[in-house]
Amino acid sequence: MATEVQKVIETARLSAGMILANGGETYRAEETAGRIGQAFDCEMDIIALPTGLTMTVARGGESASSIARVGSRTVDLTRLEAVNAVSRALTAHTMTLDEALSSLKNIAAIKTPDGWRSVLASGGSAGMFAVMFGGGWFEFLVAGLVSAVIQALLLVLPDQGGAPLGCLLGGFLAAALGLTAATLCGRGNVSLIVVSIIMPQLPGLAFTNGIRDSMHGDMVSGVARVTDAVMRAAVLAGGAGIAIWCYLRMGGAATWLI
Amino acid sequence: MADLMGVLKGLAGSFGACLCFGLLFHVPKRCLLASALTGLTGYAVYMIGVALLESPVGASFIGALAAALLSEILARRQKAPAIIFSMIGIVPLVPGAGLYSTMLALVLKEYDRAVSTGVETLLISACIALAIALVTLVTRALGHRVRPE
Repeated sequence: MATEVQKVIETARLSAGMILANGGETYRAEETAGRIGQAFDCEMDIIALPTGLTMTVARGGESASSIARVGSRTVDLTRLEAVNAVSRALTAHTMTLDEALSSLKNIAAIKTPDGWRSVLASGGSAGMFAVMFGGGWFEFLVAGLVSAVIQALLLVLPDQGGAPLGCLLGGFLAAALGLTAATLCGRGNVSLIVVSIIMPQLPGLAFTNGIRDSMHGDMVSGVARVTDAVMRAAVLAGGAGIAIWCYLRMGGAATWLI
Repeated sequence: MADLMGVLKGLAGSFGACLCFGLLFHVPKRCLLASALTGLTGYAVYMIGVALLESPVGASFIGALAAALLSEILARRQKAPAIIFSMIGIVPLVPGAGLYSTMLALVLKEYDRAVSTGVETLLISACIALAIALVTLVTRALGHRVRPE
């Protein structure tokens, strides 16, 4: 039978870990864990990093510590919101620790949009970006289709644990397929199409979270996230650059790209 | 109104793109519409900013500021973390076009243009992040009075 301190640390670890794994900020993870500890009169120390967290909980001579590795990181705002609700209920004492533990396990089992839904959403957003930038039907269709194809391919690709191979491939295919479609049809605004396809793949959240972490004093997380975001953007642009370089080498016209 | 069609396309496109983005990032259903509206608002302010300030950097800053402020308001109304709205809200402002033209200039060996567009792209990203961070910091500083999520 686990003691209350052990349950507190388990709850805090699960909540903070899930926040970090689903796109939350570092301070949110630390604060959530801290608030859970506070609600049960425990002294609590936590260091959260984008890739893992460590914490100790102490109360009246009893103490426990825990380390968790944050493996694959995605963005799932439904999970984020659900964890937030659980921690709020815990702090308000409208939920017991046992209830919290079981609902946190349910939250971890929430399915992120996968397969066809993510392919459709990715294609839809790229298509709508083309409209946003002032493109017509042709740009909408090409950007949407290519983005959907890329997303489908990335799903088939094995998980590389955060390595940016997917970015390189995504950028390359965006430019290569966009150029091919426009060349075959002999029409369309190439730069608008490629930018629209790239937009959904850009690491905007990582970058803003990085700056926010730095301004909040979480220097390690801030530097790590900003570096991650800049690297991903550079690799994405590099992938597109390779495709365009090949196109120019094969005798394509540069004026058509700008 | 120089280009009504362009403005309408911008508004419709940003809303639709944010809606799809919300599906991709699994925004809770009850927040989906509100988060897409945040994106539309940010982009609308950005377009006004571009017309008035003639500076994409300044326009991105006020666009992100508007999106971030609206996110904080929505977060309190809907009792959900503000990041749900702000992260969808800045999606249309992310400088993908700047990244593309920087890359293109590099491939074409026009290094002067690469540096100038590259710096501008970096500035835009920094301004967006700064606007979001500023709003978060200020609301958290006032947090005890306005009760954060």
